[in-house]
Amino acid sequence: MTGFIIFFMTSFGLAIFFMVRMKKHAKEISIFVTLALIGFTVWIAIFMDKTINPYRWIARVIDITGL
Amino acid sequence: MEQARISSWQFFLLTFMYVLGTTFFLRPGGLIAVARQDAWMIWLWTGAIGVAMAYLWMKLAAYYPGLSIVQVCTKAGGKLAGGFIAMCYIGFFVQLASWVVRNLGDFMKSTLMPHTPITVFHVMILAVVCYATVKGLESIARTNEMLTPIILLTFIIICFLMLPEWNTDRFQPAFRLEVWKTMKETRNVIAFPYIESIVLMMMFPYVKSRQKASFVWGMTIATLILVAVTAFTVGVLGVTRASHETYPLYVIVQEIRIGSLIEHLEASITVILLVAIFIKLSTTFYCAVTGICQLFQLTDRTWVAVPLTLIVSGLSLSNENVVENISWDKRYVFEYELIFGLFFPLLLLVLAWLRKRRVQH
Amino acid sequence: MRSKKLMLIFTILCLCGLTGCWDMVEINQLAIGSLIGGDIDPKSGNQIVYYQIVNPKAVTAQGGAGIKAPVYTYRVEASSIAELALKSSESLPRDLFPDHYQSHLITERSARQGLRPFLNFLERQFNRRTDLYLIITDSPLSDVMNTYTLLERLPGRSLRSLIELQSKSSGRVSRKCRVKDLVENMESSILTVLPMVALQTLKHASSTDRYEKINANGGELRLSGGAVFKQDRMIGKLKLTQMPLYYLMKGEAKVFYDTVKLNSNNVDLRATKIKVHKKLSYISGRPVWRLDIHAHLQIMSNEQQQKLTTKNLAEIKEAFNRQTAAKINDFFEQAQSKRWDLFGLEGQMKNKRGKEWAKALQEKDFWRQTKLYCTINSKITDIGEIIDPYRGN
Repeated sequence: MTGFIIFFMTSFGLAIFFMVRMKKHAKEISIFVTLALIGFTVWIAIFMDKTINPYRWIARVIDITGL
Repeated sequence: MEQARISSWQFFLLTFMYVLGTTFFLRPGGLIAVARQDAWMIWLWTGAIGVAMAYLWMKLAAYYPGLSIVQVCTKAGGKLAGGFIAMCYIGFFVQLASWVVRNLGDFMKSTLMPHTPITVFHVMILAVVCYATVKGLESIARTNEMLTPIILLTFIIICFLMLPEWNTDRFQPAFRLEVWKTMKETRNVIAFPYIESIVLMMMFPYVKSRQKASFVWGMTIATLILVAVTAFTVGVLGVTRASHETYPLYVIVQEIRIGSLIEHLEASITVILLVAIFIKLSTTFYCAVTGICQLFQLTDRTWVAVPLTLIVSGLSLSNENVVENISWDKRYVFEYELIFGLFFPLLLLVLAWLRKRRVQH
Repeated sequence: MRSKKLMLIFTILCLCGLTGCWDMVEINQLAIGSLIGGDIDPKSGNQIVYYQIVNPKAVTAQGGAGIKAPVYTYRVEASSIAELALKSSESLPRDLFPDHYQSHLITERSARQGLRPFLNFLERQFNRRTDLYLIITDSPLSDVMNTYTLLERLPGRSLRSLIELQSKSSGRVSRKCRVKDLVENMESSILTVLPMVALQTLKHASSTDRYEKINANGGELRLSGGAVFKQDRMIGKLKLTQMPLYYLMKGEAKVFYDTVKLNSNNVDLRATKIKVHKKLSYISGRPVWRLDIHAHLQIMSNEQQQKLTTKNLAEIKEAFNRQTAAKINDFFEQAQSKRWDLFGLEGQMKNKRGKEWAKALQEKDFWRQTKLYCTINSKITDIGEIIDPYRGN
């Protein structure tokens, strides 16, 4: 997990640096940051054995609505 | 938006490979377990339903020519509601991509390379697919155009090599299907692969001509090939073995023996599957990335594609094993995908029709 | 220039993810299995396995460079099948490589107890093939697995070629005696027949001195008949003389040998290009199985002392047809009396549509009422190099 965090921080930092240098729009940078952070959350959840499982939520919703 | 243009032949091949992609490998076993020797018939009605749904989607696309489904959502539904529906679609595409990636990882890990961590397979294929997405739709279409004939030829040769094991008695007793019961139990086949091909609606604006014909023909020919593959599995492997195996086609190829020299040809079917998964995954991934770019009006796909690989590789580890995947697929996939394949398009169609009427008045 | 540098860095990064590293297989670290023998200890219920591992140095050695043992046999005993694979690593200095097994021997006592755990285990592994030939033996397994074979020095290969050659040349065995052929009938009522081999034990056959002796008899694995399986359990045996009849009736025989007696003289015939038409119908309240066999005959030996005229040829044909039909009827009746549905008649009846079949199937063992009508049509197409036999004194 530590390896992943270090890898993520380094590449995230580098990416932000390059994006700012290439003078990208604020919207692009913010979408990138959002997606990267979502990905980071998903992976940290995996490392902590609390996998984000959308299938279980969907199954619950379908069971409740009785489809 | 990208200035790509693909020909109707390239779109036909994309549709064909998308529908066929992982289906020919993963579906026959489950169908044979339910319908036994009559399993090949299931494709006939599921294919018909798939094509009917395709006509619904094309009717929706006809209201907004030159727009992809994500753009249609915002146009027909407005910024808020349409945006919400578009986000749902993008989430759906991302989930599809994670499924496809997991299929590859599961297969490689359980058959060829059991000691390799599954994430290695996921990351490797996603790296290639990310690169393909950044390069654009034309590159994907051209790669597909080049690879499809090679794959089909190899597959046909393999089928011929296994024909000595064919036994027509394995189809007895024939035509004993309880139609309604089987339709209920195999409704998941309508979802995967047919409802999933709504992804290809993202590519409609880029097709130069005859999108409708190529789309429908792609689905139809893929269905016929699936009928043949299922019948072939029953004829060569038999109902007993095919219904127990996770990957019946792989077992068939594993047992090819030409003389006493040529054996162990399973690597060839693995390569075929790898290429098929690459095409399906690059299509889905490209559409997810383009969807995000179109929704938020971005021009550069790179900075969306790279973080998306992180998300997709993470989501593909949601299920613990292939059995969880299979049981979820059996119970929930049809109801879940019906929302995206029927409910949302109908809603958008109604909204589009209302808007048109309002404009006319 | 900059993009080229980036591409180079990216390529090097990709190379670090070489997946071969985890699943890398070094051929010198493999124990390539050739023949596997399975047994059950009747007292403790433990699974016993004999792994016959190929000794690569002996197999590739030059002819005159001193014969070394081509195979080594390891015996492993454990309480379950999965534990066997684990325990084998206690004695094997290399990694067991099951992908290349040639044949699988099972003892009769193990077959009679049932092979379900073994079949389930084999099907579940990704690296074990189920198109292995499965052979049953009633000789002591330790003797069979510790015998060096001549000519074909790898016993696993020797058994494999025995089956493949015999299926083409003598009709006493069929190539469809693989693990997958047994698995296919696991959930149906069709019986499977697997070949049986027996060993005439020879004292020095477990040492490579055997290769220096001229007498090749004794110590070889011989086909001794067939083992009849109902799903995964052995229920009986077929004699070696019955095996050609069984395969003939199933339509799997490529060749069939028989000797007819005419005027107290033997005529040896070889039937080829055998076509079998089978039909199951319901006539006058009972099922009738019609078997029409067409074959081309070749005269191998003719001990008659008369000219080979067309009349004589017709007599030979007639004798062959009559004799084979009688043998087939006898064999069928024997199988019926033992309640062996060797030809899948029960299964075929269950698949038939129609009121009479549905009504009849409510009776248990209805298939035993089947009457066999067998007709043989043959043509003598090859009489050999001489026409009339030489007359002696």
